[in-house]
Amino acid sequence: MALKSEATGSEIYALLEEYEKSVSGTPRILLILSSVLERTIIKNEKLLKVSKKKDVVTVFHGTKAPTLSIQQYVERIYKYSKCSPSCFVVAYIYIERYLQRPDAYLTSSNVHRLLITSIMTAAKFLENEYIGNTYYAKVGGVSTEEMNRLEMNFLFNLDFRLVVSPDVFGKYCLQLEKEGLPNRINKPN
Amino acid sequence: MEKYEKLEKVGEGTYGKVYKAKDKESGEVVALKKTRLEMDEEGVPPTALREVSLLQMLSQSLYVVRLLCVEHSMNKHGKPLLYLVFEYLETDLKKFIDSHRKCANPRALPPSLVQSFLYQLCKGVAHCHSHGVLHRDLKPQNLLVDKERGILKIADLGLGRAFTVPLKSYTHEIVTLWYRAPEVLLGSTHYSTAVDIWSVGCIFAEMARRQALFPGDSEFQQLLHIFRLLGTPTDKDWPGVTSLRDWHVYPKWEPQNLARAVPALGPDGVDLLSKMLKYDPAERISAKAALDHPYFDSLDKSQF
Repeated sequence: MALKSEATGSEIYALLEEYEKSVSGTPRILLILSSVLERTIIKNEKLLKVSKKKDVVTVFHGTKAPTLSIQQYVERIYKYSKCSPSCFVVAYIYIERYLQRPDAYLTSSNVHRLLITSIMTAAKFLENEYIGNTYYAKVGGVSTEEMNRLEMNFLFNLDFRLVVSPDVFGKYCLQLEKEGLPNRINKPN
Repeated sequence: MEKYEKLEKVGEGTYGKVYKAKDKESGEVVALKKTRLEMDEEGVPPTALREVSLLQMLSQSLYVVRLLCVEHSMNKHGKPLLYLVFEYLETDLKKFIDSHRKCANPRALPPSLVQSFLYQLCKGVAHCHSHGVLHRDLKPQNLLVDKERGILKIADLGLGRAFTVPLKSYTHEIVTLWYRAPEVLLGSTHYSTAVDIWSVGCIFAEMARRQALFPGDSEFQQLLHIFRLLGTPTDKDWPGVTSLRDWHVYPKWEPQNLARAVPALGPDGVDLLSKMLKYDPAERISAKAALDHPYFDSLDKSQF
């Protein structure tokens, strides 16, 4: 697939359809997303170790990293939430917006909570039917109280900037496509 | 929420009570919209989430109600609450129209005021649409009015949507029946800015008549109200209409003279109204184009 910086509406639709197709049982978007996040985390953790910096501990940090890998975790969310591939792209955009704060880094101790919260927020903003925080809390493995606290914290940190313009959405789709999967999957050409 | 002194309850919003309140420090009068208490199950209600994020983007327009801030607090049981703090306007267009009808001295709205309100409404709608936002629930109750200054502002974006990201389909359970566009009533799954323009047309007619143009009490009755005045649509004047999901066979009415339904409007007003009430959504005038319609030629636009 040719990569450009601007994508037309129909190209985006085609990409979204691609995202839903599965590769050995997992929709492509989930493989792309988890591989991009994993690489960011490796880079960040190296950087933090070398620079001896500490990232600021937030409500999104767990005391110990969960046993589920990022890919297993997003697969679980996808399976139970039934939200569209668009939600995963938008959730990724929200995580990037959240991480614009100084000294905020994506690491293996905050990625899970950031994922469940951002996907839930994207679904709430985009989808017609919303299944509720309690449900997402169960899917994500946190209590409802914690889920509500994470949501509130996330929204205020994002300053409620949840709107994603078509341009930005298209750009991220292309970016994810490009960065997504060098080694693990053969790209359809 | 000690910052604000509640003065009175002024209404019930999409997701909670609305209070008139005073900022204790500055003395500024504001409207406080409280989200419902049963936040536990659902968290922040989707309507509140959308309203805040859409207003965050749209609030710089004079013709959209200003969101001053969002406050997070606890109620007495320790449960989290969200307060949206808005600028306060004393009345809304529904109450304003009613005050000209149901009183000792019923009178028409001054034509220049109808013109100015419609212009401000089109400005606000054009602003929303240029930011990729559909309001989806325009009705007189959702238009706030400052009587003294003759200002009208769009409010209540709880059902609003950013049409930015491709989604499967929109729900058609939107917009109060009377202001609902025919394509929505007929079950079209993809709809656009034209649904808001239909509502604007209905509101325009209502200001001129002081009563609703199409007061249906069911989806079916709503369509019949529309068809009786504008004629039953055919595939010729609205390509594809008979293939829409909820299309049935209807009595065949001829279009009536629209001017007779709105005797208070002159020919330019009737022409603009007819362009807002075009059956084919693709043919319906846009909010931006409406601003340049001859109906507004006699208006001093420099004040807006």
